[in-house]
Amino acid sequence: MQKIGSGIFFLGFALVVIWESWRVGLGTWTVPGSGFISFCAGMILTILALLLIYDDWQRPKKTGKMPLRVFLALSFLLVYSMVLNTIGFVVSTFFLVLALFRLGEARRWWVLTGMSVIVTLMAYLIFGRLLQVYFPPGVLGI
Amino acid sequence: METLHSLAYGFSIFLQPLNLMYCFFGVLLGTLVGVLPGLGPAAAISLLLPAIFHAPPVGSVIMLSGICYGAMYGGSTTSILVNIPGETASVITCIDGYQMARKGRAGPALGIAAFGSFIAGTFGIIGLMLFAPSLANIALGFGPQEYFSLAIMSLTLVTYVTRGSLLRSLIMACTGIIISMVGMDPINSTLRLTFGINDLMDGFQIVLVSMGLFGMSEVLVNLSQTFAKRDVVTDKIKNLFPNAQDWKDSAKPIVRGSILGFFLGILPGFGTVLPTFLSYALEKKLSKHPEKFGTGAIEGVAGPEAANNAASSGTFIPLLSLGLPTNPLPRLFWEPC
Repeated sequence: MQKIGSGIFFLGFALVVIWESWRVGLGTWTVPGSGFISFCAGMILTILALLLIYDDWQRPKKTGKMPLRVFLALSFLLVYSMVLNTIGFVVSTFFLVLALFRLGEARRWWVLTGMSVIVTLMAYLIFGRLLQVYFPPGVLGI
Repeated sequence: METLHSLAYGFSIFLQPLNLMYCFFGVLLGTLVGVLPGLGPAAAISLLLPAIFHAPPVGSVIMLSGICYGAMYGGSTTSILVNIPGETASVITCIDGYQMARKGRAGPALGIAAFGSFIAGTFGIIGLMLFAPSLANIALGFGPQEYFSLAIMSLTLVTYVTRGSLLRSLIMACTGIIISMVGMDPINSTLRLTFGINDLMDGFQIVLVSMGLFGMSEVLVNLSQTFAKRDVVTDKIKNLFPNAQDWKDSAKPIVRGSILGFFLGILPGFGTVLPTFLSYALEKKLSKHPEKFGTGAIEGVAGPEAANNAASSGTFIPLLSLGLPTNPLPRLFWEPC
């Protein structure tokens, strides 16, 4: 199957940007509106995306499959961003780090758990306590 | 003569043991902050402002300056060793710095980054001292036409420094422009490209974007490789002092980077990131072997590292001469000053 997915993605992205820029307002040539620059960028991106689709259609390239570990890592990050405010920084970060360590190297569970605890604790102490960065408290309230 | 008197008075204040101590801690903290990916000098200064309220004004400014310059250098450490920029001004150093580390030349890369930063920082301070009043007037004369021309030149250079498909480089440049438009329009206060998401009202922070593009991609690249194929820099770091050939290759890039960074740093809105890109493009253009850029050319480390340190001095000229902070970093200095 010819690789035109990236071209189609950018084409769709550009069309969305054009629509949103039109909605916000383009203004006039002498008094450009808020959406003027993004509309122009969207138009240029549309042309470039069409060229990319044409280029990939004419010269098909071999595409490799995304490794499962990369897909899982991206999924974990997505879930982390969704549960961070609800569960809290400490708990969600602990499980995220544990999952990423497990993806990286296969070690004994107690080693992974210990490393995850240390990393989470260091991050909380340095950024949360020392630098006073705000973290969502979540279920633990810290 | 008045300049010499002022210089002597400045040295008499700076060389006091207490102020030297503030300088040392400031540079130490700044270097540590610069090494930490995602935490730049602006964030570090913001976090430390409450602490310096209790310190004398002169010591506070010295310490904050130390943080600023230390962070400019510290960002190169993780850029070279781990391919993750410590702060946004060290993004371009990743390209050749990491390749040098992979070839076992992490020591010379770190060394030339340090020496280049020192030379450029010293040059920037001297320039700040001598040219501040007159250069500030020129910077104020820059109008919309000049800024538009510089923006177009910068985007053109972005596609020039990238290797591979030109079409994909242009697509990335357009995508970057669109992403930078997300948020509130500074003139009309209209929300654009937020799609009703409140978190996007302030747009995308450059630090977060850099972390995602460089930091997370490095993690994902490592995950995608099996243990047998993983390419980890494990060589012992040695030869921190560059040899004669390294100095010969780096001398002119450091000089050019210092001059370029200093004068661009004066201009409002440029900051310390853009001079590094321009310096890299300039060195690549002037090099007799441009094909070596991206594979571990020391010029690709020396020039940008000199540029970002010199630019950090240049950004203070409008602040100290006219009381006008023209970039986020000098803006944080405005309060203690």
